[in-house]
Amino acid sequence: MKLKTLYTYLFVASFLLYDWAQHSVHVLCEEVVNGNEAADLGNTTNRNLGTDLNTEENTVTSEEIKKEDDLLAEIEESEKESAIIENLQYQTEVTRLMDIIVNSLYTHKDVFLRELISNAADALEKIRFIAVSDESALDEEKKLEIRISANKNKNILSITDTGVGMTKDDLITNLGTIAKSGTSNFLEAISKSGGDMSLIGQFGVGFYSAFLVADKVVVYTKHNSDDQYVWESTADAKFSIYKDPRGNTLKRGTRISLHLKEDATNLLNDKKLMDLVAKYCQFIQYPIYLLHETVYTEEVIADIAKEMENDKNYDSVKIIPSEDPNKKTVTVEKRVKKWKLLNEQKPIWLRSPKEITPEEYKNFFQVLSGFNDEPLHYIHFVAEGEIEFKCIIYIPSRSPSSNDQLFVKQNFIKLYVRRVLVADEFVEFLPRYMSFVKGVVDSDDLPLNVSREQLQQNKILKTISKRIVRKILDVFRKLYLDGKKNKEALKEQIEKEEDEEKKKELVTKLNEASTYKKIYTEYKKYLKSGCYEDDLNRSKIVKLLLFKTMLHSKSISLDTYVENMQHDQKFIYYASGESYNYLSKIPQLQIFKKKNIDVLFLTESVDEPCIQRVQEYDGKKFKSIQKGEISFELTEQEKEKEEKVKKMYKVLIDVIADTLKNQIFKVEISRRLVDAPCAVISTEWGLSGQMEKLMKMNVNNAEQIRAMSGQKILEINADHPIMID
Amino acid sequence: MRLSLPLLLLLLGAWAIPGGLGDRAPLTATAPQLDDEEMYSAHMPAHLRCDACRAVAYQMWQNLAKAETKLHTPNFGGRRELSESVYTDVLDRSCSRNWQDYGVREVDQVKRLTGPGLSEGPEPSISVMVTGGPWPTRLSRTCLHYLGEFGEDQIYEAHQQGQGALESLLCGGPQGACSEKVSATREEL
Repeated sequence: MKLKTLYTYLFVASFLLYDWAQHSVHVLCEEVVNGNEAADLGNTTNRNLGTDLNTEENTVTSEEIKKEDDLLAEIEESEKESAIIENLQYQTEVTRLMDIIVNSLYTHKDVFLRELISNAADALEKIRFIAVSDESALDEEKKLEIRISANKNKNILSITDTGVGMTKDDLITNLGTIAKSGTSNFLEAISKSGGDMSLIGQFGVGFYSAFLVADKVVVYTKHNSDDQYVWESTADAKFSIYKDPRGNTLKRGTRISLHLKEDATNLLNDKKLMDLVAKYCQFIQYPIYLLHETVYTEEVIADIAKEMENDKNYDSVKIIPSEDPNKKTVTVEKRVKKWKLLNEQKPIWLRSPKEITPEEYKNFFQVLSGFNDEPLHYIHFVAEGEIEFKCIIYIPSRSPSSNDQLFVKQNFIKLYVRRVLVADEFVEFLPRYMSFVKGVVDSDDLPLNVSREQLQQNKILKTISKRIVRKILDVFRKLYLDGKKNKEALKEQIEKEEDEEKKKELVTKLNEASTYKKIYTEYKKYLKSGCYEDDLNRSKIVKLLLFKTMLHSKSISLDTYVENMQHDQKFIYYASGESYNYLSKIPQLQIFKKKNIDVLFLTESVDEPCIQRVQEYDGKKFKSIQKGEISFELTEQEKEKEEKVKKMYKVLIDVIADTLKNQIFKVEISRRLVDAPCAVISTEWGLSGQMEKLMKMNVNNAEQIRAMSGQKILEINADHPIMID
Repeated sequence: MRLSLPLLLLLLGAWAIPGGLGDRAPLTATAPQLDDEEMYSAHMPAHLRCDACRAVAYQMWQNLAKAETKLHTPNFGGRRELSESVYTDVLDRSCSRNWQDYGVREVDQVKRLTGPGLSEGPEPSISVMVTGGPWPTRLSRTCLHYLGEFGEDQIYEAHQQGQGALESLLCGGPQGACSEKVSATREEL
């Protein structure tokens, strides 16, 4: 008997064991199969993304979801009890930042989604890049993707990526205690710009924009070299970090869960979410899936409808009886949640320019740059030949202000090699004076896993860089010429136009700034720096520059100046000084006014250094009217008069020279003065007055200042009454 | 005895040396007197631009030829052809070289640039060359100016047709630095 009981017990025990084992196995399978999807319903801990999710759309049966009800993706309070929670304070600037964000009346809240998607994509780029030299980096999770889902029951919106993830230290550094260098600078920029939140991404603190729509943010993250951690915060002065008591459910990557504010719950609406995500994810290279509910409606006979009710392929099936009692059919509404792939297209820069609409270029620019406005111009350049590459270059409508250059995230050009982002902080790819452009360059010809230093020395990269710079300058030149042509055509039209109304319209159009003029106004300092620095492209750049002149208070190009030169004029004359008004009155200008010879007015500090480096323009040399000798063709009569005057005044000249011998190098009779009694000129090869002034501003050493002071020449006007006396 | 040997050698030397020198006329050369423009201008003075252009053409040709000989595999035509990134890099380095081996000297009262690739006609037996100062920067800028004007592709194509073709591309032609018009102006000066 004992044996039989034993056997019975064993039998029952094994049954129980088997059942338990089955359940575990079954649960494991569920985990394996359903991972993320069920998790987003707030029900599972399982983060196993993608082993099963090979197809573009994945259906999860309602049964499987029901089982997931027991498993939680969002950590429950009870589970937290077992965790050792560290509570930390935010750095003060971060608190200030969060205050501003939380209280902002910012209307474009969807900037948060762009930022979180962008961060997710960055994390994926990082792990892909690591995997190039270390394949094992992808072992935990081979798929590289982003998943977005909404849990309507709990008002939670989640964005999950299988990117590089964060270690515990990364979490603390990146999300709170050590304010990134961008934070205080962003705060400054915000106060200046009147609260333009859209800048946030440029300062590397885009993550905090999550608080625009959420009052609590929870971040789950798993890095290859650390355990899974949880970070949570409610936008007050502190945040908590703890090891996830559920273990490494994510495998690798990060999941950001936004517990939405009441006024943001519309984000959970499928259509709204879809539109929003679609806008930004078109340009992300990694597949982005959105958990999306599809509703199928059918009209069927009541009996068949009954059968459909139990269809396991759908999450819910609802039968809506017909209002017409005579109708034999009923309406069946079947709902199913699927992962919808939102970005099927190739990255925009790999597509043919002909296929892409201006709207798409604009959207890409907004995602790339973080600006909310339109670029002034874009260049989609597909280079062929020995070195092939594709690039899109944008000219933003605003230049980074001189302060911003220091702390704006330096991702001017994103460099891709065979679709792997190699460097997005590639400051040295284009010369400094071109640092205002933004864009993407993708080349198959570059090596993938080299250090940044090696890449910068790379010959192919240097060649690509040269070609892009040339292309940009050529495009600018073309824009300038087109603008000029259009203006001339408009002027002709205006003259012919008799109708007053139409004429007014045309005049308004004429006064609108051309694309080139807008670009030039925003970036002229950069171009002029280029004129000074870039020996290779100087002759191209100088053709793009515009200057005000004695006869033109609205800037003109050197082409226009040369066109209007007098036919025996040998030089392009210029004067440098602090302002247009100042220069209009200098005595050295007098002879030019009299002879109606135009003179360039150089008022920016970089103007004269730039011009001095230009050897000649259209065969003409540049000459400063404030230095050296001014010579015009003199008639025989004039030459004789000059000789006579020199003799006459010799005594006076000697006396003045002697009196001023410490300050003046020599005294001469002037050829350039008409009304003024005298003027001070610099020697031909010395520094002009303006240059000297500027250099003195930058130097504090008195000795150096003395060394730099050029020799001065005093010119006297032989015709002036004072001199004659 | 011991002293006499060195003394003897000294005497021999003393006799030999004056004897050696005495056979030849003394050679003199003076450093070129540079005018203000030559000393202070930011640019290559006009009368030296032809020389400068030729120096640049020579350096470009030499560096390209050297790079070509380093290639191991000639293409089907038996010609060694550099790839775009290589010749771009070679030309870039040709311009950023240090140029210290070039300078100015005065021969027959005419100031000329002198250095590798610039000798023409009989060389004077002795001359004084002024190097350094503004000359390396001026040559480097001249080189980059031509590189920007014509572009690497065009320059390499001309190079492949021969050294003469490269020089005439950069320096010849009606607007070139060595054109007839320019040499006429030089004579005026």
